[in-house]
Amino acid sequence: MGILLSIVADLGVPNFYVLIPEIIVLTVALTILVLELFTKNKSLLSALSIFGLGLAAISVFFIQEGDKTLYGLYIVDTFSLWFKFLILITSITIFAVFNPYIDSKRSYYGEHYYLMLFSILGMMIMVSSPNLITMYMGLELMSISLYILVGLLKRDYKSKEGAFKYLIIGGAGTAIISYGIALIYGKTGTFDLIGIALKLQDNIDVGGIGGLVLLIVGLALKASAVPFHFWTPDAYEAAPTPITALMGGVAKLATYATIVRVTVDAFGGSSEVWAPAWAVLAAASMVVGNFIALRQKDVKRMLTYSSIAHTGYILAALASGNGVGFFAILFYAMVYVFMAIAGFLFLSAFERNEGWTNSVEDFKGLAKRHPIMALYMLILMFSMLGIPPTAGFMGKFGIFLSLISADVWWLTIVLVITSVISAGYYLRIVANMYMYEPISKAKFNLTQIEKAVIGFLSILTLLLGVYPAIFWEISNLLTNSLLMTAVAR
Amino acid sequence: MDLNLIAFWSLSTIAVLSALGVVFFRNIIYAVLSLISTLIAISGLFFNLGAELIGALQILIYAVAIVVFYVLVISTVPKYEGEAIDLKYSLLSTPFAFILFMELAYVSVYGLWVSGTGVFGPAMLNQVSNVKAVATMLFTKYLFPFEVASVILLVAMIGAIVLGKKDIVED
Repeated sequence: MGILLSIVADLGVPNFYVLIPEIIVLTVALTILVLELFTKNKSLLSALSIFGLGLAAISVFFIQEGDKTLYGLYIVDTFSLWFKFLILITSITIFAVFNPYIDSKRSYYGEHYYLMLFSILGMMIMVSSPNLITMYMGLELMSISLYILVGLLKRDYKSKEGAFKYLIIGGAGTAIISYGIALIYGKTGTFDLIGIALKLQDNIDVGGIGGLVLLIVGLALKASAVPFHFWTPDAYEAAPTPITALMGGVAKLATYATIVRVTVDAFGGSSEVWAPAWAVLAAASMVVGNFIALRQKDVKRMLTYSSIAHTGYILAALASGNGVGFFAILFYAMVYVFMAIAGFLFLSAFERNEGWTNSVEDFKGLAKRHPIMALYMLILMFSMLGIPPTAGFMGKFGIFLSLISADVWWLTIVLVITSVISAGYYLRIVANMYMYEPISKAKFNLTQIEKAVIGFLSILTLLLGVYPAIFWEISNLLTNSLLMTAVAR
Repeated sequence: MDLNLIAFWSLSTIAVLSALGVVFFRNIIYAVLSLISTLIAISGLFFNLGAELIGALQILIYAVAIVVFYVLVISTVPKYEGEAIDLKYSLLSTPFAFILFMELAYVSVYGLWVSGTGVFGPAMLNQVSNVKAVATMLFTKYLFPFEVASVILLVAMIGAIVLGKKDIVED
């Protein structure tokens, strides 16, 4: 027994103060789990969730950064704190418009609230993992909560079908990731990202490559990159629309952040392996996502394919394999989350009204019936397309620069051509809104909160394009902090 | 002949034969019984290698929990009348299985794994048992993933109940 005691003696007590945001979210989730048994008061549950998320978001500012706690399994650096903050803030917008949606669908489940909180907790764990095991656990917590959330829509067979597909394919994805982690552990003897980088150095061999490739495949599946995207259209379309915003916006943000951290910190020295792999996945996603989106009549499905295409744009930056690329991917991921959430929440708000079927035809004449909302949608579509002065333009510009700086010309050409193709479906919505007469004059019934949330997100998208300095600075800071950890090995 | 070697060969033979049985038996009950036989033989192989903890876990989790789950599933579905070999799926799955096997073999032969290093080397394991070594790491360094796993299990349980129960339609 003496030997074991000598091993654990110098471990000490973990610093739980830096875990305060996670503890708040977990406590609120467990409180709602119990509270939901006694009350059917939706406003109370949703207000409690928003309060918890807001409190956690504020508490992020009071945390001493630069600390590794829980025996090196949890990192609290600028990167993780900023992404935690962004995840919490964007989730609040989804909770804010959640109740009207489930009211109109008459599909109340008390489980919605705490399952969403659990999946947000999983995302927070993911972005602050300096270790493959913590990353895997966070990913599992996020994915399993999302599988269930997709299926929670009453009287809707498609929702259950989408959840089932997501469960099967997502489960295969996590199995592939764990296989990859096992190979990397077998090769290096450690789960720690920096430890892996130290062990592999610049000469990665067949064992390491096997693990890295499987890890890339699994993470690409979670980020819904082609050819691992088959679950995405079904799951995104079938899920309740606010949940789609959670999956397509917040969960994607967490996945991109994790992908960047794992590839840079653990495999920084072997960019000649992962840069081409991400390049191929990105090119396939851009081409397939944009071409299929072109043929969609249903706007929710169209936004889903557009989300696959954006996975391509964002991951393309990894093909450059340099600091500019990491900078571009972080910037685009951060602005994309606002666009994606606003797009899906727009549909969620209009879906509540009679006669709205999410079809492209429904957008006809929207500018006359709802000038403000049509303007917001215009900003969002221009931003996703990448027209200046929106944030989407600045994001694509960053990706473009990073690809040119690394001389990946073929991918740059794919990026430009597919962006032009994407105009075909984004502009069709704009044209339908502004160039047609409305079929009926009836006003849509939207709540003030919905208008405010969608307006806030769209105007933010515009502002970040006009004045991107704040997010440029933040991306710069995050890239430096990421590269510092990678170089410090 | 070394007793260890005899144990290894007989257990491997049982495992491979039972695995063939899982694939080729037409009766699904026989297939599940073969599966139990495979899993127990593999657990015997673990014991043979001196990994008594994994051997015991193999029996507890796979041979008991998961097989009971299979039996429950079989008992709820009507009698299954299937082909012993479905040509389409065999053709589809053979290349994948082959690629997976080649990948494992190649990586195992040329991967040059790190093993027997770290704190718990063979010398250390001779003094403390496997169970103590695993528990020491699990409840100190890997405490956090262990706790997160409990949340994951809670979520999975909630999901099974919510999706499994009948919809109560509000009016």
